[in-house]
Amino acid sequence: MMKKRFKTSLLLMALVAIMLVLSPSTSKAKDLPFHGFVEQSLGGRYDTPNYIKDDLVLSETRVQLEYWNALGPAAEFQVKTDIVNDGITDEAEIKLREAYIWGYPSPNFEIKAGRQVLTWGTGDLIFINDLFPKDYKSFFLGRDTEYLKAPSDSIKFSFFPKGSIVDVVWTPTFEPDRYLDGERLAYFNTQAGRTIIKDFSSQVGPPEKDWGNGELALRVKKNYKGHELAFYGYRGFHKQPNSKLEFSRLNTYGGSWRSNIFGGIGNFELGYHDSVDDEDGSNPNIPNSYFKGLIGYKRDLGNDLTVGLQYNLEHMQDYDEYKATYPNSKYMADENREVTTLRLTKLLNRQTVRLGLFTYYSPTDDDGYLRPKVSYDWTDNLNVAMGGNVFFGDKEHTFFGQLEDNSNLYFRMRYSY
Amino acid sequence: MMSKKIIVWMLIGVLACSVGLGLRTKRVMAKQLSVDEIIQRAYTAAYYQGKDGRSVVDMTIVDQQGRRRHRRLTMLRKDVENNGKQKIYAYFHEPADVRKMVYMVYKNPGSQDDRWLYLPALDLVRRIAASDKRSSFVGSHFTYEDISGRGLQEDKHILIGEDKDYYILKHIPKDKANVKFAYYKMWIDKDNFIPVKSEYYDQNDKVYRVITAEKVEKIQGYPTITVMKAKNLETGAYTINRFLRIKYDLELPDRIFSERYLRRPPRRWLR
Repeated sequence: MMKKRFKTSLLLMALVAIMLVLSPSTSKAKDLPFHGFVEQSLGGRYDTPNYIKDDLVLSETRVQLEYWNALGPAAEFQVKTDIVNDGITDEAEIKLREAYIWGYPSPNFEIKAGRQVLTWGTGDLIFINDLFPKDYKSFFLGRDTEYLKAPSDSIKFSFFPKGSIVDVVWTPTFEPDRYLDGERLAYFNTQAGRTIIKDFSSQVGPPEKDWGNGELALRVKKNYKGHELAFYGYRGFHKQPNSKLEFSRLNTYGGSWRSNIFGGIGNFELGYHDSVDDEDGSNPNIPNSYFKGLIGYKRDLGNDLTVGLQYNLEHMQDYDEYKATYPNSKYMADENREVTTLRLTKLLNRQTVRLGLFTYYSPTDDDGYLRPKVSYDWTDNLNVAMGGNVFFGDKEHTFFGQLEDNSNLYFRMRYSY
Repeated sequence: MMSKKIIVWMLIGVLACSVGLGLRTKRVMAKQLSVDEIIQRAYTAAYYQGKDGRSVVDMTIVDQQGRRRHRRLTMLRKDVENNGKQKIYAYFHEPADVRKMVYMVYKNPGSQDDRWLYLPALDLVRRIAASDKRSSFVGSHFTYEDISGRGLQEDKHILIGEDKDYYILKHIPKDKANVKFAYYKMWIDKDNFIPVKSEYYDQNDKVYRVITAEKVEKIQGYPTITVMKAKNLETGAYTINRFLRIKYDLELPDRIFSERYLRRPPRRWLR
């Protein structure tokens, strides 16, 4: 009953917002005190196997409201909230996406405190040194790419010594990824030996809320004559639960380079993921330590066509120990996992039509993931988009292979104001 | 003896007068300008006026069916050297889906520009590979080159004529493979060196695209194009840029053109 009433009031709020936007008296959307969008998304599997009940994976109305204001000359704040009516769970929710105060009282120091979206690193949809929370579920379901980044409740301290940037991000309460938890998307379960769709999120135990269980992320960056050099560090946890449905400790160290090269943009990134709870790699329940590397190149081929390529290598540090202790050799990972990506973007019709394709392909796992998308700016405010999330794989237990039954197509219409 | 002296003095007088006249009216002096000097001055007038500058660009894009699209952005510019290296910071206000995005360019004439795009929803600083400077700027009928200047070294420049108001120049691209046009002509105002019209010709000597300075105003003493139009003559579609709230010599700090201010737009300078 409460829930129902809550939902109704939410929908009313959303309706008021929409009316505000569309009413003739405020036909100039820029006169509104807030910004955002109203959108409807619909997505579903095109080849649903028998063990999955629902075809639909995405059916939601989303209203985003963003409000920004200055707090004097040396501070500002922003609140961005999504009101979502989810047709799959039949629930309406307010999701606070951003709510922060940003102070910059001195020219060399800033603090951004509150809920915020954070990103760094050089990879294109591949993350090595960016350990901020990602929402892979939204990504695989076909929500807008901005939802791949989940917000964290953090305090970001930034210093600017001699033209460089030093960022220290402290997240007092560990914020995991929105990982594959069996809700809505089928995943491979090693006990069952097949892909299943069963929500296990309630069984996952997050770390206790101790001071020592927060996350600390560091980046030092310098742009040296167009060469962007950065060093990274992280102290926290693996962003996804281990096989005991707990989060084990993770420290990472890395560096990156990005610059103009050969008429395009080149990037290179390295990282060491130190799984501190399993230093010698012999505990089968805890992920092993990894060396990760990425090299990428993108180029504008003219006529609004851009191509980007990446090669990503993940090397398991203690493979012998892993092999010796892993309980089921059938589902064992390789020592090296390679992933290549390709991005093609073509703009047409005065850049109002955008054709995009992003693909992941792993030659070692023999699986992949295609993200085709067509988007059209019908007017300056109205955009319609169609796309797909197509997974394939030789085996059922590899990362993309397990998602094959979730392959879906989606449609979205968004009015931005 | 006397007459010789008088002649000498008369000659000196005539010389002095002509020099004086030459100093007073630019046109007389400008007549002696070489092609290179003309294009250098026009380049400064169009893209390097003052040592830095700010303007709000109000852009209306009209397609062949008369449908309108609208863009609004604030541009900050700082010259590292006149007619050379330059830094540009563009903050988007409209349309709504690109609101708060920032586009930053380090212009490096003669080599590849450094370009970044900041996407606030993802907090993502992306490096942009935009080697095709003839592609459309934000979907308008202006190209990146029209906005930030086509490298002077990329064309051969010929003075093909002049009348009492304008120099008429022809520019032939050295590398024809990268451009659609065979050449373009430019009309440069003799008074202030503002390029008031550019016509782009195809291989059949047919003009297919024209850019015009619709309005030129003096701002802080600098002649400035305040309304500019790019028209596609084949379709009739066009884009009009209105430059508002123009200000020069703001003493923009260099640090604004950095990743820090991509993430946190310097509102003091964008106002």
